[in-house]
Amino acid sequence: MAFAFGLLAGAPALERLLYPKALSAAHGLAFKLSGLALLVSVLRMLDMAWSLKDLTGSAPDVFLLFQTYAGQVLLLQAGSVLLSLLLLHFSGSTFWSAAWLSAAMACTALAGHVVSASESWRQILVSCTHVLLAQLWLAGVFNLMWRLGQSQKLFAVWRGQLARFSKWALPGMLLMLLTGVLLSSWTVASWPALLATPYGWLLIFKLLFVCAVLVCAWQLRGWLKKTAGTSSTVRYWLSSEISLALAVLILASWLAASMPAAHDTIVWPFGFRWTPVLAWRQDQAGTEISLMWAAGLLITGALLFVLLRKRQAVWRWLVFMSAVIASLAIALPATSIPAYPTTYMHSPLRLDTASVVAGEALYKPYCADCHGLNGQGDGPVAKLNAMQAANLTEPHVSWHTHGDMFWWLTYGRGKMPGFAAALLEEDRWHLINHLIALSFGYEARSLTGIPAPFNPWLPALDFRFKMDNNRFMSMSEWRGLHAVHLIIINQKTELQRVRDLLPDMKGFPAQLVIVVKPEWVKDLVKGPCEAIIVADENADIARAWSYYRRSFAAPDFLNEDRWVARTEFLIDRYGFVRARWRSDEAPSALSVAELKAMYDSLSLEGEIKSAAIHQHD
Amino acid sequence: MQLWQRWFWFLLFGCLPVAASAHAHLLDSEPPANAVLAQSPSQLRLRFSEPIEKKFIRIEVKADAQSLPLTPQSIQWDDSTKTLLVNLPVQQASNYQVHWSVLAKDGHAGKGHFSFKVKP
Repeated sequence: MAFAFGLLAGAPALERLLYPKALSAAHGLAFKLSGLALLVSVLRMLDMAWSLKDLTGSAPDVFLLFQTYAGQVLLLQAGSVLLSLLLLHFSGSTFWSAAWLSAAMACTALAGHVVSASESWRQILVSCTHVLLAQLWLAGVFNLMWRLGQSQKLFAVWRGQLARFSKWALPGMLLMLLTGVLLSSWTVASWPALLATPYGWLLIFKLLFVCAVLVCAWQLRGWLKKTAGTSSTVRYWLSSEISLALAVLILASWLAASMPAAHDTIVWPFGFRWTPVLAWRQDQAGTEISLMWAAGLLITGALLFVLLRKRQAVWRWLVFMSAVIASLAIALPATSIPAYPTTYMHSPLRLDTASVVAGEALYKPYCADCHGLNGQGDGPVAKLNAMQAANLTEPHVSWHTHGDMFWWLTYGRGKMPGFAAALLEEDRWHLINHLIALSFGYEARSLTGIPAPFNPWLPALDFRFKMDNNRFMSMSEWRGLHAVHLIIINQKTELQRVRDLLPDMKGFPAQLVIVVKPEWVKDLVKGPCEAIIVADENADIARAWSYYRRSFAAPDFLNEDRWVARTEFLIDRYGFVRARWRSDEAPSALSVAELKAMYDSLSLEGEIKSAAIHQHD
Repeated sequence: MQLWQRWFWFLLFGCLPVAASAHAHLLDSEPPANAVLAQSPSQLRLRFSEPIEKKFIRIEVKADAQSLPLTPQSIQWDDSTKTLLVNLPVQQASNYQVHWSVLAKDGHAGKGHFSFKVKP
C-alpha cells in the first residue's frame, strides 16, 4: 500500500504536461500494487477466520470474524483499498485514490498491538510516529526509484525531487531510529533478551540493515552535491537502498509475528556475562590490575597514533586498533563472571511464603550438612573435609541471578554436587526462594521504623488468603493499587494492638492485614471490620515472614528467637517492605495518625523499580 | 500535487498503524500455577497482558481428569484489570488442570495451561 501511495502522491506536477505516459504507467503499477494489497487483506481475513475455529469449535466462518475488533478493522481496510482501486480504474482520480489508500494504511494502526494493549498515549504516539515515518520513507524511495527510469526529459525534475526528499529524510530517519529504540526498549526490556532470544536477533539484523540503508543514503547525498553525476551511479545506490528497505520491511513483519523478547525464555549462549561491579567485588585486586594493564595499552596506542602522524594513516590506525583490541582482550574477561544457559532464566514460582517454607524444608536434608543449619557455611561435612562452603547469609547471594543458583543446584559447582537426580525442578526453585528470602532477611537488619524515601529494595513475600465471600486472593494482586499494613501476631497478648487500631481505620490509606493463629480469630473481632484477618493454618505465613524479623539490635544469627510476639510491616503499593516495627523494640506501636502520615508520603512516590522478583509476579 | 493536498496526506497519515508483535500472555493466576492449596477453589482468576475478545474465550478445567461443567454465565471478563473470572462448581478433587484459549483484541490467538493441587 505504501508503494502504491508513493506512486500516486509523488507524481510531480510537470509529469502530466511533459510525459503523460509516465503518469499513466504510474497509475497502472499503483493499480497492481493495490490489487496485491487487497489480496493480502482477504487472505489475512481467511487466516483469522480459520484460527477462530479452534476457539469456537465450529467450522471457519468469515462472518464470525467480523464480530471481532481486528476483523472489523480488516474489513474496513479491505474496503478502503477496493474503493481506491475502483476510483483509479474508472475515474483515474489520483487524489481520491491516494486518499483511500492512506485511509487503508491508517486502518492497520487500529488493530495494532499498541492500540489494543497499551494504556499509555506516549507508547501509542511513539509507535504511530515510527510506522508513519517508515511508510513515508518507503513510499518516497520507491517513487524515486520508479520515476528515475521513466524519462530523460524529467531527469532535472527528478533530481529536484531527490534533493527535497533527501533534505527531509535525514531528520526523519533520525526520528525513526529514536522511536525504534524506544519501542525496542519496551518489547525487549533487557540486554540479555536482546542477545539471546530470536526476537533480539531479528532486531539486531534489522538494525544492521538500517545502517546499510544509511550508507546508501549518504552516498546519494554525495551524488547530489556533484553537478555532473551520472544516472547509473544514482540508480545503483537507489536500487540498493530500496532492496535493503525491503529487507528491513520483511524483518519488521517477522518481528511483528514473533514473541516479544520481554516475554520469552532466555537461554544464555555464552560462558560469561559482562558485569564489572560483580567481577570487582569477587576479585578486587585481580580486576584492578587487569584494568590498569588495559588502560595502559589504550593510552600507549593513543600516544603512538599521535606520534606517528607523519606515517601513512593506515599504519597509524592499525597500531591504534591493535592497542584497542589488546586492551579489550584484557579488560573484558577481568570484568566478566561465569554464566550459564540458565543464568537469565525466570523462576516459574512466585516468591511467596508457601514456596519459601517448602524450600526451608528441603534445605535441612540437602544443604545443611555443608552450609550449616543456619546457612553460615559451617556445616559438619564441610568442616570434616576442610571445604569452604558458601555462607548463604551474606549479601553475595543476592548478587547472583536466580538462574545461576538453579544451574549450581542442578549441576553442582566445584566440590558441591548437583541435585538434578535428587530434586525435582520445582523443588530446586523452592530452595532458591528460600535462599533469596534468607539473604534478604539478613539485609533486612537495616530496616527501621522510618521508611527511606525513594528507596524500595525489599520485596514483600506474597501469600494467599480467603476473603469474606469465600474467594481467595494473593497480596500481590494489590500491587499498583494500594499499600498494605501487615501485622504478624505470634502471641495472644498482642491481639490488643489490633483492637486498638481497628476503631480508627476508616479511610486509612493502606489495607490492614492481620495474620494470626486460626484459634485466635474469634477473639479478635466480633463482626465485619476494616481489616482482613488471615487465619495462618500451618503458621507458614508467620514462618516465612519471620525471615524479615532481624534487626541490628536483634540479628539472631543462631535463629534462637524466631517468633517475635508481634511484627508490623509497612508495604508500599508497589510491593516493597519500607519499614518494620517489632514489639520488643521501641517504637513498637505507632498511632494510626503516624502511620497514615507515612503512607501518605509514600503515595507521592511513583514506581521506582518492579517488585517482581520473578517474571510475571 | 498541490501543497495542501500533501499536507492532507501527511495529516491522514497521523493515525497510522503500529505493527508490533501481539499475543495475549497469561501474567498470573489465582490459584497460581503449581500451587498446593488447603481446599478446592471456588473461583479461578486469570490475568492477561492484553484485552481479549469476550466472545472468543475457551477454558476447560479438569479436576482429577474430569472436565468440570462450566456455563457461559460462570465465565466473566473484567476489562479494567484484564482478568478472566471463572466460577467453579463445588467439587472435591486433588489435581486440577486448566487449559485456556483466547483471542487478543489485535487478532492474535493465545493458549496455554497450568495446574495446581489440593492437599488431601
